[in-house]
Amino acid sequence: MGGFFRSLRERLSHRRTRYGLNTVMALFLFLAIVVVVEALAIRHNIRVDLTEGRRHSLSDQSIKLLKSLKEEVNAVAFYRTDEPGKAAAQDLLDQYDHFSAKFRYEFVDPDRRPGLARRYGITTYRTVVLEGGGKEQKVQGAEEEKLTNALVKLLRQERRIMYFLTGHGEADLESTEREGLSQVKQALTELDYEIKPLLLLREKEVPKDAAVVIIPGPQTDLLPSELQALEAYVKRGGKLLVLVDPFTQPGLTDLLKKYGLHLGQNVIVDRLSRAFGGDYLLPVVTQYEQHPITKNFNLASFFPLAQTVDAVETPGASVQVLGQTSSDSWAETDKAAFDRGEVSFDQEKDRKGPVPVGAVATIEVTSNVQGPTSKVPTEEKAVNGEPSTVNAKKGGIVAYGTSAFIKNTYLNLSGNRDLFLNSLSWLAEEEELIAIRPRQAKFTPLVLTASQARLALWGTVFFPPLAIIGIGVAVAVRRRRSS
Amino acid sequence: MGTLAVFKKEMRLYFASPVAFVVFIIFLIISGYFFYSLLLYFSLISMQASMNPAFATGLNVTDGILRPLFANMSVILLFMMPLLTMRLFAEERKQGTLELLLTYPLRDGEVLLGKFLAATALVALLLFATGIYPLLLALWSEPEVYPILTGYLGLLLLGMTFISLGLLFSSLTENQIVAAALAFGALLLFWIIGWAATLAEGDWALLFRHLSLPEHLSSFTRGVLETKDMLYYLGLTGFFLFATLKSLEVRRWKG
Repeated sequence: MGGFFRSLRERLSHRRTRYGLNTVMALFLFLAIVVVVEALAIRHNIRVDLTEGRRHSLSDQSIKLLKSLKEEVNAVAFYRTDEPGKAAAQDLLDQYDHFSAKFRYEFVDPDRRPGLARRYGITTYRTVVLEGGGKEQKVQGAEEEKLTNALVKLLRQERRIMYFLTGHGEADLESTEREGLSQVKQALTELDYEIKPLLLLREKEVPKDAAVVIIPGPQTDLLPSELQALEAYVKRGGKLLVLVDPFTQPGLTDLLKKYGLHLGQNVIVDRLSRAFGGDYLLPVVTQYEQHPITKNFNLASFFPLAQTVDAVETPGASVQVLGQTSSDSWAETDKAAFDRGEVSFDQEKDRKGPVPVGAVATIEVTSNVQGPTSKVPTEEKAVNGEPSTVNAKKGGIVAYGTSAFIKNTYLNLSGNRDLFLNSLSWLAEEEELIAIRPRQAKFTPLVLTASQARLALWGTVFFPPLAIIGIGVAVAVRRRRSS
Repeated sequence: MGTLAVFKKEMRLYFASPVAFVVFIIFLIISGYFFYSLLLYFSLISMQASMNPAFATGLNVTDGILRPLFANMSVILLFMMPLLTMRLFAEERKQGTLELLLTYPLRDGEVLLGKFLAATALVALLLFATGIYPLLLALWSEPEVYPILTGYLGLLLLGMTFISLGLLFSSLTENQIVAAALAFGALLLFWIIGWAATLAEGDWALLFRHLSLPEHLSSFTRGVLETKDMLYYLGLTGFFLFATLKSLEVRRWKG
C-alpha cells in the first residue's frame, strides 16, 4: 500500500503528469463554461425575425397568451418521423416554447408508439394534443390559429353554456335513437361546452350565461312570449342556432324574417343525392360561400328533408348564404304532393336549384336596448382572450332548413358534424376571439424561360468552377515564370 | 502582428497548393447543381401554380430555393472542410517545422489564430463565390435580402465550427489523411446525433437535438437570428480552439 502511494506521489509530482492533469482540468473547465453559457443562452434567447412581414414569428395575440400562461401546458405532436410538414410544425412549436417557460412539446411517432397514440385517441397523423389543467384539446395540423385557439379553450376557466330549447317536441339530447341528439351532446361535451335544456315557457328571458341558444327543430309553434324572449336575446347580442324543419313554425319564420333569413316552406329535392347513395330528399351541399364557418371546408354535407333558407338584405343585419345544393335540385312547394310521396319539378311553382340550405345573419345591437354587456368596448379586450365581453358586440343567427342533419342518424355523415360544430363555435365567438391572419410569404413565383434556364445552368454549374480553374492556371503560370 | 504573419503565410500556401482549388471547384460544381435543380423544380411548381390557383399560396423564392440551398451547402461544407484543415498542423509536424514555428517569437495562440483565420477567410471566399445564385434570383424575382444574409452568416459560423474541429485533429497527428478522417468522422457524429433525437424521448431527445450541428442552422436559413444558435456555434468553435491550444502546449512539454 505504502509503495503504491509513494509511486503515485512520485508520478503526480512528475512534471509531465502534472501538466497533463492541468490540461485535462483546463479543458473540463472551459467545456463547463461553454455549457453554462449555452444553457443561459437557451433560457434567455433573443430572437430577431428578419423576414418580410415577420412571417416566422407568432402573432401578438399568441405571444400575449403564452406570456400569461400560469399552468403547465404540454403539447404532444403525433407526426410520423418523415411526415411532410413536420419541420414546419416544429418551427411553430419551437416558438410557442420560446415565449413561455410553461409550454413544452414533444413529437411522437404514432406508428412507433401505438399505445400512446391510443391513449390520446389519435386517429390521424399530424394531430397535436394540448394538455393542461387536467384538460385536453386536439388540433388537426399545426397552424398558429388552431393551436392558439385550442390553447384558449384549454385555459378557459368558465365553461361556455349551450342552451337547447325544449318544450315543443324537439329532438331529445339524451336519446340514443336515430332521432336523438346524444351524438351532438357527446361532441359538445368533448369540446368542453356545458349543455343545458332551456324551457322558455317557464323562463321570462334567455339566461344571461347563454353562449348560444340552439333551437333543434321544434315540432309545434313557439308561443309569442317565447319569441319575444328570443328576439330580446338576439337584440342584446345573443346568438341563435335555428334548425327548422319544412312546413312547420310560422312563428320562428317571422322572427327570422326580421333579420333577413327567409325560410322557404318547401322541401328540397336533389337528384344528385341519389349519386351518393341517398334519397332524393337528402340534398347534398358541396359548394360553400366564403364565411368563417365554412373556411377551408371541403367536405360534402347532407341535409335530409330540408327547406330553403335565403339571405335577404335587411336593415340592421348583414346576411349571407352558407351553402347551396347542386343545380340538379329544386325546392318543392307542393306540400300535398310531398305528403303523398310523389314530387316532380313544376316549372311554374317550384324553384330551380341551386338553392341555399343555410344562412347566417349578423345583427347590429341597437343602442336603445339596455343589455347587461352591450356597452363594453370590445376590440382591445378581444385580444386578451376574454370571451364574455366579445359577445356584446353583435347578435348572430345561423339558420338551417332542417333539424335532421344533426340527429344521430346523420350527424357523423361526411361534413355534417364539422359544419354544425363550426357554426356553433363561430356563434360562440371562439373563432373570432383570436382570428389570426396566417402569415404567408410573399407570392413570388418564378417561371423560367428557356434562355433563362440556360443562363442559370451556365452561370451556376459551369461558370464559377471554370473561373476558379482559370485563376488556378493563371497562378500556376505566373509562379512558373517567376521561378 | 504574429497572427497576421501566420495568416498571410497560410493564405499564400493555400493558393500555392492544388487542394484549395480542388475544394473550390468541387464545392462550386455541386452547389451550382443543387441551385440549378432547385431553381428548375421551383419553376415547375410555379408553372403549375399559375394554372391552378389553389396551389398559389406560399410560393416564395427565398423559402423555396435559397432555404433548401443553404441546407444543401452546409452538407457539402461538411465533406470539404476537413480537406482544408487537415494540413494546417499535421504537415508542419511531419516536416518538423512546427517546432520551428513554435520557437519563433510567436505565441501559440497567435499561430493558432492565424491559421484559423486563414481557413475562415477561405470559407468566406467560398461562400462569396456562391453569391451569384441570389444575384441571378434577384434578376428574375424578388428574393429577400435579410434571410440571404442570415443564411450566409449561419453557414460561415458553421464553417468556423468545422474548421476549429479540423484544426484540433490536425494538431493531434502528423498524418494529414488521419487528421482529415478523424475530423470528418467527428463532424459526421455531430451531424447525425440529431437523428437519434427522433428515436429518443423527452429530455434525451432535446439534448440530442441541441447537440446536432444542422439543427442550429435552420433558424439562420429561415431568416431568423437567435442568440442561442449563434452561441452554440461560437461556443463549440471556442472550445475546439482552446483544445487545440492545449494540444500544442502538450506537444511543447512532451518535447
